[in-house]
Amino acid sequence: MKREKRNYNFILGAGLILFMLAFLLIGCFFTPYDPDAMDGGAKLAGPSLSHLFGCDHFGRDMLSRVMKGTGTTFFVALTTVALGGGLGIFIGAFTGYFGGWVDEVLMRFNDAVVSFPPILLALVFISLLGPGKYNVILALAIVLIPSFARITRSEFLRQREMDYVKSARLMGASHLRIMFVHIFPNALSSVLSMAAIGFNNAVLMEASMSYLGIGVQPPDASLGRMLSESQTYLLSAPWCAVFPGAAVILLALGFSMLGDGLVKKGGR
Amino acid sequence: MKLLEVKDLNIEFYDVNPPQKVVKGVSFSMEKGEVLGIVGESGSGKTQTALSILRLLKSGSQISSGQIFFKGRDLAGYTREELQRVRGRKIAMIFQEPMTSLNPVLTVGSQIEEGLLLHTQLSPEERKKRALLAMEEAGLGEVKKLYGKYPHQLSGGMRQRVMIAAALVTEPELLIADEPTTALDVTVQAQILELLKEINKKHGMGILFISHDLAVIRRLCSRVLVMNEGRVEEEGEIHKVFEQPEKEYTKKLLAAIPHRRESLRKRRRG
Repeated sequence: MKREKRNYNFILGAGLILFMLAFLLIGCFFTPYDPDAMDGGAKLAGPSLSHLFGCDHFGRDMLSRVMKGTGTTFFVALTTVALGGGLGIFIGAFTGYFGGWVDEVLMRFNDAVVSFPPILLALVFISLLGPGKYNVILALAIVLIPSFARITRSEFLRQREMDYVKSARLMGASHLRIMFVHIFPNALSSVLSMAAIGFNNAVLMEASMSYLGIGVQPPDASLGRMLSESQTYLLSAPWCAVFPGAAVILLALGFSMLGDGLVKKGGR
Repeated sequence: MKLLEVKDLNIEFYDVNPPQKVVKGVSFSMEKGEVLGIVGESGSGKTQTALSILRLLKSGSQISSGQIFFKGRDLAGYTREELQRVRGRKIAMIFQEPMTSLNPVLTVGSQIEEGLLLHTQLSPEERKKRALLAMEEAGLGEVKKLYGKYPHQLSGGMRQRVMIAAALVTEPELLIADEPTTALDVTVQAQILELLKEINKKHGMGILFISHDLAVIRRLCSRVLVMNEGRVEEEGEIHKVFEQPEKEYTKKLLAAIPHRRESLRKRRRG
């Protein structure tokens, strides 16, 4: 028998995410400096032993801010995926399981949402709701719903005609129980990989929306916001852009590798 | 009182154009503890008849007319809650494909317990005890070990036994078996048939046994219903139907069973 190839995507992705998770968890309890404290003397100071990542244009410690900012970005991504994914799974489960006109209506609505570029759609929602962390979460969640709904729906469509569903029904299980106790665990692998991809998208979109100034509002640290603020000093103080950028890249890379790895695991 | 009585049952597929009748005026009845066989070729409507008893027809097909009485009460008059209580508790069903009729991501034990979980207020320990008992009764060995295993770790015959255990655990009065032995090899098939016979004797459970295999029907059933193109061709005691068939179709069907001697003779001649 052929030896199974190691799933490097999964291992590396999981490693990266765990590393970032440790980084931001430490940031929740301990940062070298107060991330919002300004120090006029250390304005745009380069990386040194006292400020490992250097300082920004207000003399705030970049390491502390990247730690906090990663936390914010991660929080937004997590809640977005939980909210959007949860709703999407629910919609997908219902439409896939019951079919009929409910399916038609919800899926056409889905198509309508999908037909807009996601960033544009999120911008429209933000302009309706107003900027802010929680509104960004809401807007991004709405953008994420269709992809989750589709994946879940297709899984449920495939599973609902299986005999084990029939036997669960004739044991007297209710529709809800069949949907979430019997079918859902079977759909979990594809939903999980979708969640990893969703995380990836949410991180990038949160960063880009904060970059555009409609996401997380100052003085809260956010990776996207830091990138946009550092633009002016890109040549004189590149560390202001490099470190938050690296954090975004590592988060996105980690999630996307994890997603790929999960797809491979699921498809085995 | 009859255990099951089906009167003038008609089923049609209405999602094809024109709508197609697959079961046309089928009537039969079953006594308590009886083993009734339904035999017929593929597409003769036997599975649809069985599914309609539990109102499990696929979307796109429906009972267009007729009545089904379970213990004297019309199943059509049951509310959804009542129907859910009847399913699994009073009537259980096992399917042809033991590979797909078990949920791949749930353990054997939890799937056997499902019926108890849904229909009784037993404690988890009591449920486990009953599940293990049902597994033993279904002829499974090392039940404690099997309890925590997943379906893909079992062979086809074992899976079918698990299905039987899951059907037995709530002690239903009617077991509908839709070609339960078709996907199994001959020795396992014989074992499963013996098992069903035993269960029927021990619990007085009525079995509605559906098969296209006349030999299997003959081994198990006391009465048989021959179906063809959605109609009942012939009905009667097993020996009478097999030895003195009245209808042309039944004769043809019986003639289609290969006989060992005949084929030997032919081979010698050739």
